[in-house]
Amino acid sequence: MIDLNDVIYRYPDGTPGLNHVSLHLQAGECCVLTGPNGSGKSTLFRILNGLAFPQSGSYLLDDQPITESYLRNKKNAAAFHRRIGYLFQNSETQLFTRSVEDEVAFGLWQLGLSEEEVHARTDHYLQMLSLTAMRHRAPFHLSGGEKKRCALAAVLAMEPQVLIMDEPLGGLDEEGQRWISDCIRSLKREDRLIILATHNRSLADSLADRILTMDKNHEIR
Amino acid sequence: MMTGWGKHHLPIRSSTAEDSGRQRGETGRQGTVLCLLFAETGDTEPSPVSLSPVRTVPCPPFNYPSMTESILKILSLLSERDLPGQIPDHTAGKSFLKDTAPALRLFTALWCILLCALSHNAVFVLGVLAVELVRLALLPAKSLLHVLKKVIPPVLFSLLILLPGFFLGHPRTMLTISMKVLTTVLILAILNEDLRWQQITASFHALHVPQVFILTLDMTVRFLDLMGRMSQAMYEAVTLRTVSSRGKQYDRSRMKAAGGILGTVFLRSEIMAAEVAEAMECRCFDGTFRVYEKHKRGPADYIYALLIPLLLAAFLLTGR
Repeated sequence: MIDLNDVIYRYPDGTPGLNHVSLHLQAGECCVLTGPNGSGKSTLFRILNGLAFPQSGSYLLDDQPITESYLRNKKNAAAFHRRIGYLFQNSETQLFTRSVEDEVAFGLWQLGLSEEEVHARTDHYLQMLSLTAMRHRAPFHLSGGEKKRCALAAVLAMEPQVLIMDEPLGGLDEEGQRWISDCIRSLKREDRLIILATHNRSLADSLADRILTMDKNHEIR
Repeated sequence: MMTGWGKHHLPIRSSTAEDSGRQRGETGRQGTVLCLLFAETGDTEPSPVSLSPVRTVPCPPFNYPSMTESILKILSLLSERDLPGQIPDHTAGKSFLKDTAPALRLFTALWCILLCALSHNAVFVLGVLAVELVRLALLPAKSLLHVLKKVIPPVLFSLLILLPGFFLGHPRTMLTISMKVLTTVLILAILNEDLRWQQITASFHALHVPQVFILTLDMTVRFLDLMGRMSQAMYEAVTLRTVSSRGKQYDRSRMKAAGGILGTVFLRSEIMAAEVAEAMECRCFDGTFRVYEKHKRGPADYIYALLIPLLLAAFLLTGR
């Protein structure tokens, strides 16, 4: 499903981000990415989400090369982002609408779904993530765990085939961590590719079909 | 090792090899809190809850630092917690108003303001003002105070501006305009109390305001709040870390710190803006934005809508 071949990425100031990273991921797989801070996990995720592009090497999604010129086409970009859901490390910046329900519905409107479909899916995912009671609240007034749930609901509502989560347990208390971990476990049962970065060893061990470790040289071991 | 350093003491745990950076940070914070407690109570001995082994460092009396007033003003404005999105929903118990579409309430308010502005007859404006004052009186005490705080300054300002007219032989102008200002601001302030910020911006959609404009407006308010919180946290961090005595040098370093806070907030805002843009891109944002609206028209809407022709009739009957 996802193929990265000898990807090299450098930041605009020349700092290395990724060094000769090659990866092959299949649908239905749960891949956990670990490694120290600054090893390039988030950079890899940005590349997988089409937010950054490697200077050399290739990125293929179902044999389709994902390049800057490919994503410049709005139709291609929409089709691509529809297939890949990304839960950002910082939920604070991922939530930008006036209410929780608007947040969940945002992506659905963008997909051009009918009003009934948008309402049905919004209700379903709000219920799934236990957000129904706070659907009218402004997302930026929620607690850290609630924000994370809201961001996850917004991503899941688009029903992506690939779900990428950057440190989903970051900044959460014990209960919040347990809640999100259980949620990810339930998502794993579905036939989708899950890639997540975490420092939580027990989560990695309990979820992963494959654990990849990035080192300080920005390479995957 | 304990050392006496004057009246106020700040116990800080001696750093050890096994201390992680995080632990040191927590200890530092705890030390500062203890310092503040001593300063307030006048205690000279370390609290029994302080960690051991401890050493003491001098701590000035409990004084919040003095940054220049203008910078403080900016920071306090940024950290203003009473942003529209946080205003509690006062309509919770009022089922009639709650059932009425926010867009209709917004439109009626704007319609009323327009008619008041066009009216040459004090009777109409007085009538509207009387109704609004009754509504104001029905608000809870806290909301009433909130509304009055918003209403009084502009009315006083308009009176002050028009005061020369009073002495130059046009006392009526002063009264008419001040009354119109009072009515207008009162209508808007009560509307603001009745509706949450989200409802107001959602109403713009019904009034055919471009959706991207609504989104931008929402996000501006949201990020003002976020930046405010951020600057508040940084300001507190600077405050807690400042333990030197007062003086010119001290003030200069504080000034630099304040400048640093604003600079950091600006830089972070840039990073956040980029992150938000990426988050929107990931959710297929193509420039169109729609509001999630499920309000169904009910009897309350139709009853409330009657106000629009009634206001017009009153306007025409009172001779405009």
